Amino acid sequence: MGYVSDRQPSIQSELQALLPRLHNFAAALTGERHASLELTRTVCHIVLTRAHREKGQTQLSLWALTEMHTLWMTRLAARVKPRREDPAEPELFYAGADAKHGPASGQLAKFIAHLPAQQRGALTLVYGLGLSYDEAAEVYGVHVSTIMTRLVRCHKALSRWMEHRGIGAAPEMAHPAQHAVRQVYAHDYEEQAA
Amino acid sequence: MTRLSDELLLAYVDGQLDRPQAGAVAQLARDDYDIASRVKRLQDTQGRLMENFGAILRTHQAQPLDTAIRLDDAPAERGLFGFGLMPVIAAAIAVVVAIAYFSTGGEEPTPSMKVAERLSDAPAASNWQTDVAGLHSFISRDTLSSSEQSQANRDVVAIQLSRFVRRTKPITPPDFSKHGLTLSRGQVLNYQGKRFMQLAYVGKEEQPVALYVMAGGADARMTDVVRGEVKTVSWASGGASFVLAGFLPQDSIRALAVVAQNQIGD
Repeated sequence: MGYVSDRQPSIQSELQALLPRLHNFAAALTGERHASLELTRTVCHIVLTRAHREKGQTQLSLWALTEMHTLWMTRLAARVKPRREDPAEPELFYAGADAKHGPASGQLAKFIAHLPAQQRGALTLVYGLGLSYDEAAEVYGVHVSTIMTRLVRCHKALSRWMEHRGIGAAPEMAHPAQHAVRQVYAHDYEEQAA
Repeated sequence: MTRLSDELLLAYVDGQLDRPQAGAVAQLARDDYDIASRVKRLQDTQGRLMENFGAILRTHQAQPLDTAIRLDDAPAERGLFGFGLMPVIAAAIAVVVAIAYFSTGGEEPTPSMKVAERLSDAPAASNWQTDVAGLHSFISRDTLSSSEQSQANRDVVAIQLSRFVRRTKPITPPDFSKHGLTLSRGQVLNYQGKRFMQLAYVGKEEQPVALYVMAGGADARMTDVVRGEVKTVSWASGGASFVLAGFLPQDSIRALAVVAQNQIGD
């Protein structure tokens, strides 16, 4: 990933390539398909409008994700009467035909849909978009410990959920980042497996 | 049995620790069954999450959102403040300024000028060390609580601290337990656009003692700073500035500062 100041003319095409990632995060925050599309569209407009003003080393994806979170928070704060957070639409978190677990992935989608929006967002940034904890913290404008706390809560809740349903160990992981982690700590994994 | 926080273990599983930290956790996981099983559980949940979120992203990438989101209809860059409205706004500002000038007879300075003059007369901003001592006078035992923005977990605070003050050697929060003080909270605060960490310690009855850490600063020896009831000792070493502040006698604060300095090292 490069920086905005390096590639001003190609912002639009790069933003186009970022759309799936932006929409993923928007879905995690809003929990609704229609609202997530609208949020993604608005953020794209903001980025395109302000791109010419951006000086320095602004990373496009982080900038767009940060704008998205800020906009979403602003909208929440503007609500006259804050309402209780409803569960998200599970379809947004259903891995579909690409999932290796079939029916279990549908259940997992429901589990994720019931998580608080901030936790869904943190999961999406770290495990969906492959951001580091530091980058996720930058998007949220919080310290890295806040992200860690949110992730740990998700993991604990998921662990309890898996135990309750008698779901065992995860399949062989296919995510590139996970491969990298595995290579670094391959020795440890081998010993544990033994 | 070694106690490691879930946050630290998750950071290890997610590959977010630097090599020395990861190596230390890996060693502990080899030696301690409890830690190994906790790591295994986190790997299980991590695998599920990565597989699910990775599949969602792949699905979205396979079905582009072009039809739902069109970038071509973005608003014009100039928008409301484009050239069309600029002359009108400039004229309006000119009229307001002219009215203000003539209504004061053209002699009296405007209120905003008075404020500017007062600001120019104000004393120069004090430095970080003395301002932190002022900040410390506002905290008490009752105000110390952990929130989502702060941490009471030593491991997590250690990670924060190491990232905050980037050194080759990890920094751990000073341990004042032999002096009756335990770590109560670590949090990041802002000072004139710069960030610094507050590590607050409490005893059974005493008011909090806090170590404030800011990245940067040339090496400096320990200096006493007294601000009201708050006694502080400040120093800088290894690319970080430190202030230890508390409501204790100056000698006690200085003794704790020496302990902290020895534990943190260079």
